[in-house]
Amino acid sequence: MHSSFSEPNSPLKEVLVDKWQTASCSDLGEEYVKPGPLARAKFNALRNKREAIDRFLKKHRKEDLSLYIDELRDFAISPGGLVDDEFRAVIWPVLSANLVQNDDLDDVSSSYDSDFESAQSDFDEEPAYEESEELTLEDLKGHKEWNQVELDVHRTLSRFPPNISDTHRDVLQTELIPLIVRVLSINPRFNYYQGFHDICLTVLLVCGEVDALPVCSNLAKNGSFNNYLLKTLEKSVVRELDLLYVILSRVDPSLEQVMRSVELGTMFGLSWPLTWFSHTLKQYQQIVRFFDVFLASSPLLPIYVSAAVVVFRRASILACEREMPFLHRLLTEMPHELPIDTIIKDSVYLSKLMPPCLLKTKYTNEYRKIVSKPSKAAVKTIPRYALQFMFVAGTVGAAASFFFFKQIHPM
Amino acid sequence: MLETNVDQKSFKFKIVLLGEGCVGKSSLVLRFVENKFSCKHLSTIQASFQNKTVNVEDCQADLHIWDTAGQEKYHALGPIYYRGSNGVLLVFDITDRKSFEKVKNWVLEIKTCLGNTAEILIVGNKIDLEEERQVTRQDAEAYAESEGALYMETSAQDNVGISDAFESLTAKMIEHSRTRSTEPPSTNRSIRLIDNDEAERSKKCCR
Repeated sequence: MHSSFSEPNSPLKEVLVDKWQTASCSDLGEEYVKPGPLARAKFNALRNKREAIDRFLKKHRKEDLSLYIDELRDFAISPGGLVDDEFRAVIWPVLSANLVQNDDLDDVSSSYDSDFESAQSDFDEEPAYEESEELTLEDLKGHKEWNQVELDVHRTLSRFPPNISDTHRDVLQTELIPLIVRVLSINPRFNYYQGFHDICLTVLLVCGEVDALPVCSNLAKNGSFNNYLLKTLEKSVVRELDLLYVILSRVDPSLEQVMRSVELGTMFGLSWPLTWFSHTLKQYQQIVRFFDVFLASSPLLPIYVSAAVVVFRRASILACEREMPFLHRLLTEMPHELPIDTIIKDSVYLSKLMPPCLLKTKYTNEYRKIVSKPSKAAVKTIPRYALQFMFVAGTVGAAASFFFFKQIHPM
Repeated sequence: MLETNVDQKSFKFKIVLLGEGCVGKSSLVLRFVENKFSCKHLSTIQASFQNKTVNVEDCQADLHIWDTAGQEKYHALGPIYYRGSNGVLLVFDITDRKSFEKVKNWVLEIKTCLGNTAEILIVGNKIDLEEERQVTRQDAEAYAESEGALYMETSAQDNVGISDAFESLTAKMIEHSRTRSTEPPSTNRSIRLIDNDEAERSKKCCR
C-alpha cells in the first residue's frame, strides 16, 4: 500500500507516470493516503520546496555549487530534505566534497585514544581524491576484501526499491562490488566492515556509477566512516554509541535509567551509525532523507538521531518486558512509520543543545559519575540530577527542554 | 537445593550462534524459530535476539537465542554476546573449509573465556550442497569429539536437522545444569563499554 510512495524518482523515473505524485512521500505518510488538510499542506510545502530547489539549481547551473554550500546544507536539513533523487544526484556530490568536519575536540576517540596521534597523522596525510592510477577489475578482484564484499552485495536483494527490475538490479549489484573495493583501495589500512556496502549501495542508487565513486570516497576519507574503516569497531562506533546514554540521561533521565538498569548496552543501535540507518529502515525514501541530513551535518549527528529515535519509542520501551534481550529486540526492529522530519528536527536541536565537544567531555564525565554510583543510589540520584541539569542550564535550558518535550510529545 | 535440581523441569538458557560470515547462522535461527527460509535476507550487522520454548523429554526450556554478525570486523564484539551463555552453536559451511578452520578458533576462544560453563555444538550447515562439500562429516565429528563438543549437520534451506540440533544442545544444557553446581555465571547479560578499562578487559574477553 505504501510501497508506491517509497519508490525512488530516479534512477527509475521512466517507470513512474507522475513525478509529482512520488515526491518524498514518506514525509506525508498515512495522512496522504487519507487526504486531509494536514496532508495537503505537507504535500504543498514539499512541492514548494521542490520548486525552490529547482529554481536554485537552474540559477546557479553554470557556477561551482560549492560556493553555495550553506544553502545546499539548509535544503538538505530542512523538512523534506532534497525531495527528489534528481536533485540528490546533483547535490550529494557537492555535499560530500564539503563534509562538515570535526574539530580535534570533536573526534570522539581522540580524547582517550593512545593512538590518537598516529590516527590523526594518517588522516592528515590522506591525499585528496585523485584518480591516480586506475585500478583494473583484475586488480580489484585481487583485493583482500573482494570475496566478503561480493557475498554481502549478493545479500542486498531486499535493500533495493521494489519497483526495480531484476535486470537493472543485477546491473547495479555488478557495479556495486568494484565500487566498494575501489573505495577500500584508497587506503591500504582500510578494513571493510559489513554495512559499508549499504552506504555505497544507497549512494549508487541515487548518483549512478560514475558519481558514486567520488561521493563514497569522500565519505570514506573524511566522513565518520573513516574512523569505522581505519579503527576497530570498539574504538570507533561503540564509543560513539556510548554517547547515546549521555544524551538520554539529559533528555529523558527516567528512560535512560530503565535502559541502564537492564544493562541494555548499545548493541541494538550498532548498525545505525555504521550504515546511516540504511540497514534497518524499510523505506527507501526514509533512507535517502537521512542521507541528505547526514551529508550536511556534523559526523556525530547519527548519534543524536539515534537518541531521538529511542526517545520517540519511549512508550514501547516502557511497556516492554524489563529484560535486556526483549528491549534489544524491540529497538533493533525499526517501526515502518517513523516521523522522519520530526526526528531530524529534534536531533539537530539536541546537537545544538549539547554540542559534540561538550558531549564528549563535560557531559560524559558527569554521566560517568552517575553510572559509577551503586544502582540503589542511582535511582535516588536521577531526579536530583535532572534538577541539577535545569539549574546548570538555567532558564534557557529549562525553556528549551520544555520546548523539546513538547516537540516529542505533542499534546 | 540439590534435590530440586534433578526434579527441575523448566529451564531458561542463553544460546549464542557464532561462526564466519555467510555460513547461515541467521537462516538457522529463522528456520528454527519461524520455520521460514529467505533468499532475500540481509547480512547481520547488529546481533538479533529470538526466543523459543522447546520440550526435551519431560522438560521445558525457554531458549534465548542470540544471532551474531560473522564478519571479521565484528569478531571482537563477540564477548558482549557470548558472555553468560549456557550453549554455543558454532556454525560453519560444509562447502567452505575456511569457515571450519574459523570454528576451531572460536572453540579456543570460547573455552578460554567461558571455561566449562557452556556446552558447545558444532554445526555443519548447507548439506543441501553435498556435491560441493569440502569438510567431511568424519573430520568434523572427530574434531568435535576431541573438543568434547557435539556435532550435527543441517540444511536451513531444506529444513534438515535444525530442530534436532537445538534439541540436542538443549538436552546437553539440561544435563549440564543438573550435574554441575547450579552457580549461575555472574552476569548473563551484555555489558556496556563505558570506559577504557572496561573496553580493554572485554577485548581480552575474560573476566
